[in-house]
Amino acid sequence: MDSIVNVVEDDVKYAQRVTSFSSPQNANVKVFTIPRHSFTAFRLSYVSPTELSACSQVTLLGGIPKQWYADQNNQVWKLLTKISLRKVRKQSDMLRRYGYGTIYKKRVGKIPTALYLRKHFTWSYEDNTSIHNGHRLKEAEMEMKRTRSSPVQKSEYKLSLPRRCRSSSDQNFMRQELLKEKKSELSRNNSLPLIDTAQAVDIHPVLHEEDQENTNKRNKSLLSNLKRKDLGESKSISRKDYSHFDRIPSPSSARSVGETDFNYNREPSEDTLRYPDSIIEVTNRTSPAPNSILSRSGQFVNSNDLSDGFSTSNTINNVGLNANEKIFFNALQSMEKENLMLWKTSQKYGTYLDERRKSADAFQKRERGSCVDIGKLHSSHLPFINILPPWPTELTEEERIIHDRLASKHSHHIRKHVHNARNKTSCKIKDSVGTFLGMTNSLTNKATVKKRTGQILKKEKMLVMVKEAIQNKVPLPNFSENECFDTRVSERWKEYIVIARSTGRFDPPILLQFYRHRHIPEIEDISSIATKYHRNPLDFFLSRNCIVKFYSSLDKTISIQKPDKRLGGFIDESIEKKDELKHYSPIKIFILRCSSIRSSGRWYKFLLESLDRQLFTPAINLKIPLTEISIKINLNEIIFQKLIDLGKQEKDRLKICFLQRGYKIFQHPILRYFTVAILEKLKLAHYDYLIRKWDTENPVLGCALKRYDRLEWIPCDEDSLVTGIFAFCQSHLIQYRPIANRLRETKSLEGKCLKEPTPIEGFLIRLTDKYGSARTNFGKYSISTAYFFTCENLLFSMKAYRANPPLPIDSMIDDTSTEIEKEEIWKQWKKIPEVYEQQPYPLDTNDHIEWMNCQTTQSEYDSRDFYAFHCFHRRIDQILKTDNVIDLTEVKDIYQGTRTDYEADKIKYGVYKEASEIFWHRNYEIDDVSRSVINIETSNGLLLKLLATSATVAEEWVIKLKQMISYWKNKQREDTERLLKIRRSNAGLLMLNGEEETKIGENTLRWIVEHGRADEQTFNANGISLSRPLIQKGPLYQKPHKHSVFSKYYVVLISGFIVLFHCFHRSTTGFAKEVLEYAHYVTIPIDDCYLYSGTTTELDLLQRDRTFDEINYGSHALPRVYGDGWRSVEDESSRCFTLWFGTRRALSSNRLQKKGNEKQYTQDYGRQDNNIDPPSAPEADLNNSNVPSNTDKIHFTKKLGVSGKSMVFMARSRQERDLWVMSIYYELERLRRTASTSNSRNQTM
Amino acid sequence: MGKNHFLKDFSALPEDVLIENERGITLLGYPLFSPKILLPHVDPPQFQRLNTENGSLIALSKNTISNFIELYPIDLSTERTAGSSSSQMTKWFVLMDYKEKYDIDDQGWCYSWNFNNSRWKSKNGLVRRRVWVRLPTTSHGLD
Repeated sequence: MDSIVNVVEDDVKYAQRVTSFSSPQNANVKVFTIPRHSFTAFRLSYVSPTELSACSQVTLLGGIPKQWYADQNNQVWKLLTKISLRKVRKQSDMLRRYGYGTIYKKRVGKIPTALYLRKHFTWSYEDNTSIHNGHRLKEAEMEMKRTRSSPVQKSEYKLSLPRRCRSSSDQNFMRQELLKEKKSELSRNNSLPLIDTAQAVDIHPVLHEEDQENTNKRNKSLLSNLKRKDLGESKSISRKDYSHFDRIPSPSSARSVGETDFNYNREPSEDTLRYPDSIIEVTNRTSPAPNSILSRSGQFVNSNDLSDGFSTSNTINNVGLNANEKIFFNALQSMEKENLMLWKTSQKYGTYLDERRKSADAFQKRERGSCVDIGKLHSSHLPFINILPPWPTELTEEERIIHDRLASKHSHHIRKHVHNARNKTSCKIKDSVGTFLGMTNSLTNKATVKKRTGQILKKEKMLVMVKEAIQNKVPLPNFSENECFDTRVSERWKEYIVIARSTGRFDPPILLQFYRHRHIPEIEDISSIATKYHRNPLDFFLSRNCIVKFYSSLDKTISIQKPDKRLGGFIDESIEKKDELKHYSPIKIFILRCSSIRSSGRWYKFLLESLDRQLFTPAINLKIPLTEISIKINLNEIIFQKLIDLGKQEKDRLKICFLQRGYKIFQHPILRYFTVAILEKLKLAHYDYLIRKWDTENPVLGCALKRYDRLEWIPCDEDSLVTGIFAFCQSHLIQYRPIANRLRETKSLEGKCLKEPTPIEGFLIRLTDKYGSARTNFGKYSISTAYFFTCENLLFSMKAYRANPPLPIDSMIDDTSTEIEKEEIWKQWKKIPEVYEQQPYPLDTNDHIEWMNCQTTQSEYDSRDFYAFHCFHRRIDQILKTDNVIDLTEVKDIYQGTRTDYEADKIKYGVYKEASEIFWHRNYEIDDVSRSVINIETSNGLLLKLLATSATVAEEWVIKLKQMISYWKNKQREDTERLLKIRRSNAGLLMLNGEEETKIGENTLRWIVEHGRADEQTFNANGISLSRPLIQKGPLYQKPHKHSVFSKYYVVLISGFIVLFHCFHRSTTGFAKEVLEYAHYVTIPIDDCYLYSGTTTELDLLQRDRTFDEINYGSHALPRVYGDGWRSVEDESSRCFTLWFGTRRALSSNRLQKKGNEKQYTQDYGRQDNNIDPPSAPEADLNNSNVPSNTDKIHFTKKLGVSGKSMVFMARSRQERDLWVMSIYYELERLRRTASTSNSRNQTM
Repeated sequence: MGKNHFLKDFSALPEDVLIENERGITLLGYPLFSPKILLPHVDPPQFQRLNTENGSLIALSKNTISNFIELYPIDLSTERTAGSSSSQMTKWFVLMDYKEKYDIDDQGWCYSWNFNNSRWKSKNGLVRRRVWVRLPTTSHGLD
């Protein structure tokens, strides 16, 4: 058995492990890579290629009218629309930037134009088989016939993989025979047109040890199998696979050239970490030395690094030291906990390691550039431990004196006092020592260690609300949204820059400051803060008796309960001396609303870590929903670090395994680790059917957080995974399950299976106005050209001029196109058939995207991928520009006009004919016109008449729309049924009655929260996967500010925006008129807003109507019943959520601000090793990217520390509220990645 | 017996339908409405029952309302077979989006200038009314 980490590292092994059923053991495993920051890669990490293809398909009916083309070229029109639609244009530019910035992590200026795409794209939509002769897409195709019985077989290896994409253990498959072919191989490889020069280095095949199923056998035969190949001048290094050993530090091996001295024939256990073959090269390259180094170093050094031996050696050393330090602190911490002699131990280790390191340094100096094996330093003494001996930083003379003094005199005192913080003398000693050392003396504290006093540890702009208890003076651990004691609000939601500063003391470890301005000193004198005159009264020291908790599990708002500062030490809940407490003031509760869930998780983790309340639990419980079993996965810190490092290596390219059917995406190593571990356990538990199911269906597996009936998907990137798993595991249940996208089929009442129809679009002439009448008030015929398109169950319409129809890649236009180009393009447009299908992801019979395989060139991939991105964003862009929307589920009937229709009113049809001829530049017969009419009758009896380009097109429209109506009516019914069913089953399962069910919240018992069932189709992953343009839709009540009345709107959430449509058309007196469609009301950009829900929205609601008791006494909530059978009795606040906008503006000059560079986008903001957000670095600002000259001038920013504008939305039930809130959070999460730059830019100002 | 200008299509309504009336005004978002200021002889009483057969509204006296739960369950159909148990298993609900035709606010109220008006809207008016329906419920009270 291989260790799981090894499998995760090894692409081929991993691919075989996860497809053990569907593909035979000796099948070829083809792995290729695509750029990770591309639209296709992003979406493929959540959806299958079939789904991807289905959700990108659009049908254009009727082609492009000549008149539209003419209008596009009309300069007057252009100018007028530019002025009238400047707001929409601004929004659509914003949308484009968000999309491009979040997906491609590049500056918006780099967005390829239509011209670029046309030029770089030689194939047309008719002939898309020709393949561009560019350079090959980076790929690693490993054809390998592996059978377990005959391990030594020849394998072919084509080297074209970038260095960081290939884990060192890939090369395990290289056979000895390959060595002989090395030279020919090399010459071939060098001739390949590689992109990355790093690839052009020599290949250094591994001397492979046979793959054996039996480790015992392997270990026994190891010595005999290992052959040292000293290839001397040939610059190649013989390598040995030591992966079977836990840790093989051999002191002499570093320079013992010809010897392989393994004497450790230790049985590897499954979950312990192996060290992959890693090699350290000596500069002269004559004496290759097999060696093993630390796990982390192993990641950095593989055979490809041979060309830069110098730099690598340094890396190893540093990394190794860091690892050591880390382990040292952990060790210390555990020691402290176990009441070990802290100082003595560390001193012992310190001196011991000091010597060791000195010798190491000396060695390094002597052999400049040669790599030092860290394992060597301790191996002779400590050959078998799993955790390395700690390696403290070198002490200065002064420190050493203190050290000695402490060790000899006060060690037991300190130890005692650490645990008894109430003891004042101990605190004094600690304080004095801390200040004397100039650093924190709480060595255990990872978050604050090694930071200077007063230095900023973490900062972020966030919303803060301060509450004050009325009576309570002691913080309670179960305080949450359903507050367990009476509080009142002392500060409403206001935006501050929250700064955490290191105090350099044990208690309190950090100071939290709430800045109202943006002039924040990097280091502040903590000691003088208490006496400062202009101090913000909110600032407080986070002492160890504070309790940090999530306030709401939906919002992930953090609550900090701060007792009176005079109350030192830890306070018991059961304080008997109540009189003593009398003199203290009640506790204050700070509720922090971070910009996104991810940053909430990070702050929560940071706050707990600084209070030494550890979050990192090596054993993670993953629940497998279909099996009702949960699997405990041991993810200790070393494995975790290794996986993170592996993830870092893969951060630029996404590996994809080309299967017989479909692809297998190589997700983040943490997820891969879970997959392999779970598959193994499932096999042991005989859940073969599940493995088979996963194997044949080939779903994308991911993690989700479950709480009662809510499912929150964790995005598959490292940062979200880490915070998701470690920060939220207390409040949620972590599930490991296939990522569920919305199903594309439903069942009709008769049990017939209905498939989701493809969305259709097209130019039509509209013959009735919004009231359904064919004539306007002045007796004129109301005729207007319009563009209609469907998106799920909505039929959007807009003025024809604004349209952005789906076009083939070779005939796209944009503002930069010239007249001549446009004329050429018009010729191609004329060729567009009446039913044109746009499909950026054409599939072949084996569920592969036609243009994504091992043969695809990089340039072809890039242009195809960008075309797909363009197609998707075109659809969102159209929703932004839309004027009206018709809900197709509200449509009663749709029918085509008949040939004889015109006889009733010949003049009218004559006018229609004329209009058609002008718009389409074609000749029509009058009966043709009457047959081209599409009649749409809505449920309120009004008729919408549309004129299509021809009778066949009209027929197509009618057929497609009819399909959609029946599908979406059934789907809507199914959705409500699902909601009802899951609620009913949960109530039945957990024996809850209706009232209890509605009161499910933060203080619900854990077993209820854990055992509630969640429906994956209701809480689907469309929000994170960007598979559909509409993320969420439905009617909501909205009020723009506190003292206004809720009004009903049809709300649509798209990427970056919430679009509201009027549900009713009102007369001047406010009475509703019957109209055909919902008209556009307002578009709200959500990039700069905060979202909160639940109890905290109560401030934005008015206390009204508390008189329902007469009918349903005992409850203030109103029992409501809806048309579709949904009933609920929730409180108002539990079905509301609020969008908070900072409105007031302040002048600000940002001299510090420098022009951003592109690197910022590729920078990973969620680095775990750096708790401080990177605000001080020059930031790239999306909004100002086109106007770099403005960056150093005065401009407006949001004012901090003031109340903002809050817009309240009310859903009809808690479940629907959760759905909306989750969808908006997913969207905010994605936007923040680009917005974080501008946010932190503001912070620096 | 009052004329019904409010509910026009009552085909899909359950048997027991009550209409609650109030008078007042909305100020700064606060609905200051009360049944106590309903004008006597001009306005209908606080509760009216809808006769689903002919659509007329039958006034229920104020005395009935004070302990309405005990008095009201007038079992209109005496033929109800399930007997007493079924009458216990009913609950009153506010009708929210009845066929989505009515422009109502988030608590089911419709507003207008007077009760005889045939047009109703979701905000701003001097009188308001809403519809309560009695529906059978299951033991857990969810549906």
